[in-house]
Amino acid sequence: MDKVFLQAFREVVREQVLRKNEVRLDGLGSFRFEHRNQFQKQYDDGRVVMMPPRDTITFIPE
Amino acid sequence: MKIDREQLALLLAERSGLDEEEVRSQLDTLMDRIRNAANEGKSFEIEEFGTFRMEEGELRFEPSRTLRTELNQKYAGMKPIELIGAYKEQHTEEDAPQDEEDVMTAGASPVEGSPSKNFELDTGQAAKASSGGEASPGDSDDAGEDESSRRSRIRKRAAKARREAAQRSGEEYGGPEEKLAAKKQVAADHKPEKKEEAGAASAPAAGKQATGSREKRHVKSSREKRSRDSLGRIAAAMVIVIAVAAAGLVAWNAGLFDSAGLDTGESVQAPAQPDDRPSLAQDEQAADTEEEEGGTSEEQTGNEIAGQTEQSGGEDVSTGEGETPSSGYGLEGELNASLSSYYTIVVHSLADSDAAESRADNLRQQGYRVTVRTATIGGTQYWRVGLGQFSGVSEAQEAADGLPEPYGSNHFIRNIQ
Repeated sequence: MDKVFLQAFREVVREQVLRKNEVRLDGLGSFRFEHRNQFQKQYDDGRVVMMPPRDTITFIPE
Repeated sequence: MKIDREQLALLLAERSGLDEEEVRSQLDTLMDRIRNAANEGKSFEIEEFGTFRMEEGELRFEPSRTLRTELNQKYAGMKPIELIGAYKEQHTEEDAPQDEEDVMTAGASPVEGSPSKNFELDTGQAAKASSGGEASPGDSDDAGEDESSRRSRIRKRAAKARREAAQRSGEEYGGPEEKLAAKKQVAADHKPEKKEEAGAASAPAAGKQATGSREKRHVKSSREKRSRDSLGRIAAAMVIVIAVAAAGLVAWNAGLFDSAGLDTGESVQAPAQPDDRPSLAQDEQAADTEEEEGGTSEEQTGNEIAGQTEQSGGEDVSTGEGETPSSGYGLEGELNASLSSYYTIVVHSLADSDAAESRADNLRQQGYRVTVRTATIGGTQYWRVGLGQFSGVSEAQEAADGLPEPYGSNHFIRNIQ
């Protein structure tokens, strides 16, 4: 695998996932876009914080 | 939309500039390598993309930091925000074992000491706690007692946690509802404590332990108080500092330091500008009070002013005449329209143009050189009545010092261009 291909792979997967498209790698699984809502979280010392929302990528194996 | 292998190959070819056959074979190699690494239980990393690894029989993918950042552009830089009002105390475990011991000994020692009393007490407690189900004597009674003690223990622990949380969050961050809730909890707390005391009365040893733990609690609360006191002391110090600063500002505005500033001559012009607004506000107030006093008192003060100006007028005129022929500046006489830039002593600043004009006329009759200018402050237009035309701030200040009250102490000097 050469570098040009890997670079293209990174970019294509990232762009398609950002467009909420599902990228399938046959026999392996698929990449999906996932949005995580903000949520409250309590630290061990008792402080309660609001964790920010975030967008992330998930891989669902076949 | 789903991107399958075909579409992915097309997109990759487009992006990389390689032909499709090449891309396909590369993609196959990549997937084979991932599969092989997974089967061997190794992890496979694509740099700046992520890592594939086999976990619990499933292929997992962990995106790299770079990829995560790139995907999370929308919420970039967002950090956890602390919710201060929602403070909860979790760590009650340190105190809980003590309470457990207290309750256990308080419940257990009467069994050894006085069984008959214990029986009566326990049936009472059991009836209260477990709704009279196990009121029969013997083993079932012990079971009921155990249950009641367990319940009261749980209740007490929860109440304590809430109380401590209320002490920290409720009092420091001051929600009224929280305080109310805290009060309610404290009221509710008394019930289990009474029970405890009933147990303690029959068992003095247990009572000692209970009081011991209570003392510990006192120590703890006093420690909290002390930390709060230090916070209060810091707050008090800050308030004092602010008060001193405010007093200094007021004194500066009132012109206490003006004489010191005047010695520097030209540079005074700059401080004279910020002086403008606050003293104007004072002037506005003064003007209001004058109006409230009514016509008669105003006439009186007007007469007084007239008399004083007659007295001090002689001196002023002499100095003024000394200046007037050479420069055209002065406190009295006619307005010199040929002066393009001069300083004047503003003695009235009124939102009502008629009132300003009548005052200006009044002053003109007293022989002053009167200027009326408009100024817009905070969206409101004010008419400023000024006395005299001066070449510099120091001259204006000198003349202003000779003015009769209330102008002598209530004025500001303004540059007019």
